[in-house]
Amino acid sequence: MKIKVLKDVLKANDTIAEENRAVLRKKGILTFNLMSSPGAGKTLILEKTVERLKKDLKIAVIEGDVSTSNDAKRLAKYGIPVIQINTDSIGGACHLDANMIKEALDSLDLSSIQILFIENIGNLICPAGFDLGEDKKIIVLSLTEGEDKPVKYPVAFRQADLLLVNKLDLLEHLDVDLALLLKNSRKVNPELKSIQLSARTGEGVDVWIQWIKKNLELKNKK
Amino acid sequence: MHELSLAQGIIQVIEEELGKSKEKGIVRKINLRVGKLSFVEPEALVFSFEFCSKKTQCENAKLVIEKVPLNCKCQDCGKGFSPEEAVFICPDCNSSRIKIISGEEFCIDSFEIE
Repeated sequence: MKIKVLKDVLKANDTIAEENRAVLRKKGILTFNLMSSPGAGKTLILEKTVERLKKDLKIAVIEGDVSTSNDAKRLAKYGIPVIQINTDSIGGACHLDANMIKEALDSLDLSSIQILFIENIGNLICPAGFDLGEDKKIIVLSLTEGEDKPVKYPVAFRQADLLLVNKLDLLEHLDVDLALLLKNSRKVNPELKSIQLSARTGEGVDVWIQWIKKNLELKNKK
Repeated sequence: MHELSLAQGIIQVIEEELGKSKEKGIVRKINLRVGKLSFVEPEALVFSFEFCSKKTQCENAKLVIEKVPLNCKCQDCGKGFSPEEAVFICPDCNSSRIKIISGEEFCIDSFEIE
Protein backbone atom coordinates (compact mmCIF):
# COMPACT_ATOMS: atom_id res chain seq x y z
CA MET A 1 0.00 0.00 0.00
CA LYS A 2 1.22 3.43 -0.98
CA ILE A 3 0.85 6.36 1.41
CA LYS A 4 1.18 9.87 -0.01
CA VAL A 5 3.28 12.22 2.11
CA LEU A 6 4.53 15.15 -0.01
CA LYS A 7 6.58 16.60 2.82
CA ASP A 8 9.79 18.49 2.79
CA VAL A 9 12.41 16.52 4.68
CA LEU A 10 13.85 19.66 6.22
CA LYS A 11 10.45 20.73 7.51
CA ALA A 12 11.43 19.87 11.08
CA ASN A 13 14.46 22.14 10.83
CA ASP A 14 12.42 24.94 9.26
CA THR A 15 9.84 24.76 12.03
CA ILE A 16 12.49 25.17 14.72
CA ALA A 17 14.14 27.95 12.68
CA GLU A 18 10.83 29.85 12.67
CA GLU A 19 10.60 29.41 16.44
CA ASN A 20 14.12 30.81 16.80
CA ARG A 21 13.18 33.71 14.52
CA ALA A 22 10.14 34.48 16.68
CA VAL A 23 12.21 34.44 19.89
CA LEU A 24 14.87 36.70 18.37
CA ARG A 25 12.26 39.07 16.94
CA LYS A 26 10.54 39.38 20.31
CA LYS A 27 13.83 40.36 21.92
CA GLY A 28 14.63 42.73 19.05
CA ILE A 29 17.88 40.95 18.21
CA LEU A 30 19.32 41.39 14.73
CA THR A 31 20.83 38.06 13.68
CA PHE A 32 23.36 37.31 10.95
CA ASN A 33 24.36 33.89 9.69
CA LEU A 34 27.89 33.99 8.26
CA MET A 35 28.80 31.25 5.81
CA SER A 36 31.99 30.59 3.87
CA SER A 37 34.57 27.98 2.99
CA PRO A 38 37.13 27.17 5.68
CA GLY A 39 39.73 29.90 5.97
CA ALA A 40 37.86 32.68 4.14
CA GLY A 41 38.29 34.93 7.17
CA LYS A 42 34.95 34.84 9.00
CA THR A 43 36.51 34.89 12.45
CA LEU A 44 38.90 37.76 11.71
CA ILE A 45 36.04 39.75 10.19
CA LEU A 46 34.03 39.15 13.35
CA GLU A 47 36.95 40.17 15.54
CA LYS A 48 37.30 43.47 13.67
CA THR A 49 33.53 43.96 13.73
CA VAL A 50 33.22 43.35 17.45
CA GLU A 51 36.18 45.65 18.08
CA ARG A 52 34.37 48.44 16.24
CA LEU A 53 30.84 47.90 17.55
CA LYS A 54 31.17 46.73 21.12
CA LYS A 55 31.41 50.22 22.61
CA ASP A 56 27.96 51.21 21.34
CA LEU A 57 26.15 47.93 20.87
CA LYS A 58 25.62 44.71 22.76
CA ILE A 59 26.92 41.86 20.67
CA ALA A 60 27.03 38.10 21.07
CA VAL A 61 28.49 35.38 18.88
CA ILE A 62 27.60 31.74 18.32
CA GLU A 63 30.60 29.92 16.92
CA GLY A 64 30.16 26.73 14.94
CA ASP A 65 33.04 24.36 14.35
CA VAL A 66 33.36 20.63 13.96
CA SER A 67 36.04 20.65 16.62
CA THR A 68 38.06 22.95 18.94
CA SER A 69 37.09 26.18 20.67
CA ASN A 70 39.89 28.17 19.03
CA ASP A 71 37.55 30.65 17.35
CA ALA A 72 35.42 31.17 20.45
CA LYS A 73 38.57 31.98 22.42
CA ARG A 74 39.59 34.55 19.81
CA LEU A 75 36.24 36.32 20.22
CA ALA A 76 35.89 35.92 23.98
CA LYS A 77 38.94 38.20 24.32
CA TYR A 78 36.65 41.10 23.49
CA GLY A 79 34.55 40.52 26.59
CA ILE A 80 31.34 39.59 24.79
CA PRO A 81 29.18 36.48 25.26
CA VAL A 82 30.38 33.68 22.97
CA ILE A 83 28.85 30.24 22.68
CA GLN A 84 30.85 27.51 20.98
CA ILE A 85 28.99 24.72 19.22
CA ASN A 86 31.16 21.72 18.37
CA THR A 87 29.49 19.19 16.14
CA ASP A 88 32.02 16.39 16.68
CA SER A 89 29.97 15.28 19.68
CA ILE A 90 26.86 15.03 17.51
CA GLY A 91 28.12 13.11 14.50
CA GLY A 92 30.53 15.72 13.15
CA ALA A 93 27.86 17.57 11.16
CA CYS A 94 29.26 19.95 8.57
CA HIS A 95 26.64 22.64 9.19
CA LEU A 96 24.72 24.21 12.04
CA ASP A 97 21.03 23.41 12.25
CA ALA A 98 18.15 25.25 13.88
CA ASN A 99 18.05 22.98 16.90
CA MET A 100 21.70 23.66 17.76
CA ILE A 101 20.92 27.38 17.64
CA LYS A 102 17.84 26.90 19.79
CA GLU A 103 19.99 25.26 22.47
CA ALA A 104 22.61 27.98 22.19
CA LEU A 105 19.92 30.68 22.57
CA ASP A 106 18.81 29.00 25.80
CA SER A 107 22.22 29.61 27.30
CA LEU A 108 22.48 33.28 26.29
CA ASP A 109 20.98 36.21 28.18
CA LEU A 110 18.87 37.43 25.27
CA SER A 111 17.67 40.58 27.00
CA SER A 112 21.17 42.02 26.83
CA ILE A 113 21.90 41.40 23.13
CA GLN A 114 21.25 43.68 20.16
CA ILE A 115 23.21 41.89 17.45
CA LEU A 116 23.88 38.18 17.25
CA PHE A 117 26.43 36.81 14.81
CA ILE A 118 26.31 33.12 14.02
CA GLU A 119 29.53 31.88 12.48
CA ASN A 120 28.56 28.77 10.58
CA ILE A 121 30.89 25.84 9.97
CA GLY A 122 33.33 26.47 7.13
CA ASN A 123 31.57 24.84 4.17
CA LEU A 124 29.73 26.31 1.20
CA ILE A 125 27.39 23.41 0.56
CA CYS A 126 25.62 22.04 3.60
CA PRO A 127 24.97 25.19 5.67
CA ALA A 128 22.93 26.55 2.76
CA GLY A 129 20.23 23.92 3.31
CA PHE A 130 19.55 24.81 6.93
CA ASP A 131 17.62 27.89 8.00
CA LEU A 132 18.68 28.89 11.52
CA GLY A 133 16.19 31.69 12.14
CA GLU A 134 18.53 34.52 11.12
CA ASP A 135 17.53 37.87 9.62
CA LYS A 136 20.25 37.91 6.99
CA LYS A 137 22.57 35.39 5.42
CA ILE A 138 26.05 36.62 4.63
CA ILE A 139 28.57 34.83 2.45
CA VAL A 140 32.23 35.54 2.96
CA LEU A 141 34.37 34.73 -0.06
CA SER A 142 38.07 35.43 -0.03
CA LEU A 143 39.86 36.50 -3.19
CA THR A 144 42.21 33.50 -3.05
CA GLU A 145 39.27 31.17 -3.70
CA GLY A 146 38.85 32.32 -7.30
CA GLU A 147 36.12 33.85 -9.44
CA ASP A 148 34.01 30.79 -10.09
CA LYS A 149 32.86 29.89 -6.56
CA PRO A 150 29.43 31.58 -6.88
CA VAL A 151 28.59 29.42 -9.89
CA LYS A 152 30.06 26.30 -8.28
CA TYR A 153 28.09 26.73 -5.05
CA PRO A 154 24.95 28.44 -6.34
CA VAL A 155 22.61 27.48 -3.52
CA ALA A 156 24.57 29.32 -0.86
CA PHE A 157 25.04 32.37 -3.07
CA ARG A 158 21.44 32.38 -4.25
CA GLN A 159 20.15 32.68 -0.67
CA ALA A 160 22.62 35.26 0.51
CA ASP A 161 21.66 38.83 1.32
CA LEU A 162 25.23 40.08 1.26
CA LEU A 163 28.52 38.96 -0.21
CA LEU A 164 31.61 40.02 1.70
CA VAL A 165 34.66 39.70 -0.52
CA ASN A 166 37.57 39.40 1.89
CA LYS A 167 41.38 39.57 1.62
CA LEU A 168 41.21 42.60 -0.66
CA ASP A 169 44.80 43.43 0.36
CA LEU A 170 45.93 40.44 -1.73
CA LEU A 171 44.31 41.65 -4.95
CA GLU A 172 47.53 42.97 -6.48
CA HIS A 173 49.34 39.70 -5.81
CA LEU A 174 46.75 37.40 -7.37
CA ASP A 175 45.54 36.66 -10.88
CA VAL A 176 41.95 36.73 -9.67
CA ASP A 177 39.51 38.90 -11.64
CA LEU A 178 37.35 40.70 -9.06
CA ALA A 179 34.92 42.08 -11.64
CA LEU A 180 34.32 38.56 -12.97
CA LEU A 181 33.83 37.24 -9.44
CA LEU A 182 31.13 39.86 -8.81
CA LYS A 183 29.57 39.19 -12.21
CA ASN A 184 29.41 35.47 -11.40
CA SER A 185 27.77 36.20 -8.08
CA ARG A 186 25.06 38.22 -9.84
CA LYS A 187 24.50 35.46 -12.38
CA VAL A 188 23.37 33.27 -9.52
CA ASN A 189 21.75 36.00 -7.43
CA PRO A 190 21.01 39.19 -9.39
CA GLU A 191 19.98 41.07 -6.23
CA LEU A 192 23.13 40.20 -4.29
CA LYS A 193 24.89 43.20 -2.78
CA SER A 194 28.60 43.00 -2.18
CA ILE A 195 31.17 44.73 -0.03
CA GLN A 196 34.88 44.30 -0.62
CA LEU A 197 37.12 44.48 2.37
CA SER A 198 40.28 43.34 4.03
CA ALA A 199 39.78 42.33 7.64
CA ARG A 200 43.57 42.30 7.94
CA THR A 201 44.24 45.91 6.87
CA GLY A 202 40.82 47.34 7.72
CA GLU A 203 40.17 48.52 4.16
CA GLY A 204 36.43 48.50 3.42
CA VAL A 205 35.50 47.61 7.00
CA ASP A 206 33.72 50.98 7.40
CA VAL A 207 31.29 50.11 4.62
CA TRP A 208 30.51 46.79 6.29
CA ILE A 209 29.96 48.46 9.66
CA GLN A 210 27.59 50.94 8.01
CA TRP A 211 25.68 48.07 6.42
CA ILE A 212 25.22 46.45 9.84
CA LYS A 213 24.07 49.72 11.41
CA LYS A 214 21.64 50.38 8.58
CA ASN A 215 20.11 46.93 9.08
CA LEU A 216 19.82 47.55 12.81
CA GLU A 217 17.98 50.82 12.15
CA LEU A 218 15.61 49.09 9.74
CA LYS A 219 14.97 46.32 12.25
CA ASN A 220 14.27 48.78 15.07
CA LYS A 221 11.83 50.72 12.91
CA LYS A 222 9.69 47.64 12.30
CA MET B 1 28.01 15.33 5.21
CA HIS B 2 24.50 16.66 5.47
CA GLU B 3 23.07 13.46 3.96
CA LEU B 4 23.17 12.14 7.54
CA SER B 5 20.82 14.90 8.72
CA LEU B 6 18.60 14.32 5.71
CA ALA B 7 18.45 10.58 6.39
CA GLN B 8 17.42 11.30 9.98
CA GLY B 9 14.82 13.74 8.64
CA ILE B 10 13.35 11.08 6.35
CA ILE B 11 13.02 8.59 9.20
CA GLN B 12 11.43 11.23 11.43
CA VAL B 13 8.82 12.15 8.80
CA ILE B 14 7.96 8.51 8.03
CA GLU B 15 7.60 7.63 11.72
CA GLU B 16 5.30 10.63 12.23
CA GLU B 17 3.21 9.66 9.23
CA LEU B 18 3.01 6.04 10.40
CA GLY B 19 1.87 7.26 13.80
CA LYS B 20 -0.96 9.25 12.18
CA SER B 21 -1.95 6.60 9.64
CA LYS B 22 -4.54 3.93 10.30
CA GLU B 23 -2.65 1.56 8.04
CA LYS B 24 0.03 -0.52 9.72
CA GLY B 25 2.78 -2.55 8.15
CA ILE B 26 6.44 -2.79 7.35
CA VAL B 27 7.93 0.09 5.35
CA ARG B 28 9.27 -1.38 2.10
CA LYS B 29 9.93 1.61 -0.07
CA ILE B 30 10.31 5.37 0.33
CA ASN B 31 9.87 7.52 -2.78
CA LEU B 32 11.88 10.74 -2.73
CA ARG B 33 11.94 13.74 -5.05
CA VAL B 34 15.42 15.21 -5.08
CA GLY B 35 15.97 18.48 -6.89
CA LYS B 36 19.17 19.16 -8.78
CA LEU B 37 19.83 22.22 -6.64
CA SER B 38 19.53 20.28 -3.40
CA PHE B 39 23.03 18.92 -4.08
CA VAL B 40 22.24 15.63 -2.40
CA GLU B 41 24.61 12.79 -3.19
CA PRO B 42 22.31 9.74 -3.68
CA GLU B 43 24.97 7.18 -2.70
CA ALA B 44 25.83 9.03 0.48
CA LEU B 45 22.14 9.37 1.26
CA VAL B 46 21.50 5.64 0.84
CA PHE B 47 24.53 4.82 2.97
CA SER B 48 23.46 7.28 5.71
CA PHE B 49 19.91 6.01 5.59
CA GLU B 50 20.96 2.38 6.02
CA PHE B 51 23.01 3.40 9.03
CA CYS B 52 20.39 5.64 10.67
CA SER B 53 17.38 3.42 10.01
CA LYS B 54 18.68 0.47 12.01
CA LYS B 55 16.19 -0.44 14.72
CA THR B 56 13.66 2.10 13.45
CA GLN B 57 10.42 1.49 11.57
CA CYS B 58 12.31 2.27 8.36
CA GLU B 59 14.89 -0.49 8.72
CA ASN B 60 15.46 -2.31 5.40
CA ALA B 61 13.25 0.09 3.46
CA LYS B 62 14.49 0.93 -0.03
CA LEU B 63 15.01 4.55 -1.02
CA VAL B 64 13.78 5.33 -4.53
CA ILE B 65 15.21 8.62 -5.68
CA GLU B 66 13.57 10.59 -8.46
CA LYS B 67 15.91 13.32 -9.64
CA VAL B 68 14.13 16.57 -10.44
CA PRO B 69 15.80 18.85 -12.99
CA LEU B 70 16.10 22.59 -12.54
CA ASN B 71 13.12 24.38 -14.13
CA CYS B 72 12.86 28.13 -14.20
CA LYS B 73 10.45 30.72 -15.52
CA CYS B 74 11.22 34.25 -16.56
CA GLN B 75 8.99 36.70 -14.68
CA ASP B 76 9.30 39.25 -17.45
CA CYS B 77 8.75 37.41 -20.74
CA GLY B 78 7.29 34.19 -19.37
CA LYS B 79 9.87 31.94 -21.03
CA GLY B 80 10.35 28.59 -19.31
CA PHE B 81 13.85 27.11 -19.36
CA SER B 82 16.04 24.48 -17.69
CA PRO B 83 19.52 25.86 -17.16
CA GLU B 84 22.38 23.34 -17.15
CA GLU B 85 24.21 25.45 -14.60
CA ALA B 86 22.68 27.49 -11.84
CA VAL B 87 22.71 30.69 -13.86
CA PHE B 88 19.49 32.56 -13.38
CA ILE B 89 19.28 34.75 -16.46
CA CYS B 90 16.58 34.40 -19.12
CA PRO B 91 18.07 33.02 -22.35
CA ASP B 92 15.52 34.99 -24.40
CA CYS B 93 15.19 38.45 -22.86
CA ASN B 94 18.23 38.46 -20.54
CA SER B 95 16.08 39.33 -17.53
CA SER B 96 17.31 38.34 -14.08
CA ARG B 97 13.81 38.16 -12.59
CA ILE B 98 13.72 34.38 -12.58
CA LYS B 99 11.48 32.13 -10.56
CA ILE B 100 12.59 28.59 -9.78
CA ILE B 101 9.68 26.27 -10.54
CA SER B 102 11.36 23.03 -9.50
CA GLY B 103 14.77 21.66 -8.69
CA GLU B 104 15.19 22.96 -5.13
CA GLU B 105 13.09 20.33 -3.41
CA PHE B 106 14.12 17.48 -1.20
CA CYS B 107 10.88 15.85 -0.25
CA ILE B 108 9.21 12.57 0.49
CA ASP B 109 6.62 11.93 -2.17
CA SER B 110 5.20 8.75 -0.69
CA PHE B 111 6.09 5.49 1.00
CA GLU B 112 4.92 1.94 0.61
CA ILE B 113 4.06 -0.49 3.37
CA GLU B 114 2.98 -4.10 3.40
